[in-house]
Amino acid sequence: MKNTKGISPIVSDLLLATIVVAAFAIVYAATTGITTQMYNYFSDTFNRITEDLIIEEAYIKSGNETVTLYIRNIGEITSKITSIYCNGTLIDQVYGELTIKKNKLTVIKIKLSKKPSPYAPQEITIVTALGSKFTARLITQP
Amino acid sequence: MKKKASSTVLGSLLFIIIITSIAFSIFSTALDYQIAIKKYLKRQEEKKREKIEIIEIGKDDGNIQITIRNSGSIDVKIAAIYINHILIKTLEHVYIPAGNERKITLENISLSKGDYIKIVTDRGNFATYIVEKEP
Repeated sequence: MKNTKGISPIVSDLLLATIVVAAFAIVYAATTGITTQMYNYFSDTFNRITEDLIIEEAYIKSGNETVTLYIRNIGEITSKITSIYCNGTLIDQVYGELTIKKNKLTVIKIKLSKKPSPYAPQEITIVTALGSKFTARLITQP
Repeated sequence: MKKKASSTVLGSLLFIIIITSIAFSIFSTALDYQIAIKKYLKRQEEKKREKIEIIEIGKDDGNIQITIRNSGSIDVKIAAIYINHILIKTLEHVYIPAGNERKITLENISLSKGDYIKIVTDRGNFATYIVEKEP
């Protein structure tokens, strides 16, 4: 009769403790994942606000595919350039230091896919690792 | 009875800890966001207040001398000089107080009519000048 009534208090306590620990582990794992994602999202958003690059100088000469870009980091954090576009086309050939520390200048050479014609507008877009985009419009020198 | 009471207290404590953690997390995030926005706005405001102009290109002891005026309402730091779209010099400690002028000397540089000079500040503003007659 006693055996069929229920489990002993020690076993029940152990069982309860195990259930609580298991539940806590599940909740902790789930919330850690969510909070980490949230933290990363907000952290990237804050960093994007503080990120600022400018194309300080650039020169495109008609008939010359090679363009030199002088890019300065005027933001608050180190920026890493991941891609450069010209008139919406991804530039494959990019040479130079792509990680720019705060207040530093980098010289990047890019090779356009075709020779630019005189007075043709060229929209250069720089994309960083945080997803920020910085655009400058240049006119091809005759 | 005693066991029941302590579990209620523990439960309340746990609840308070959870709520405090969430509130702290939200408050901290909001504070970080506010700081980031404040820095961004300050940077934009300073950039708008900054204004420089090249007022003279001369020669001194055979070297090119560029006179720059800070006509804005904020101190400026000159960061780079370009001639004909090519970087000539990067500058580290050239500051001009608001309303003042400063001469920058370029050695081993010659200028001719039509040359394009660009002076850039560390906030990204710039002044340009086209040489009208050889200095």
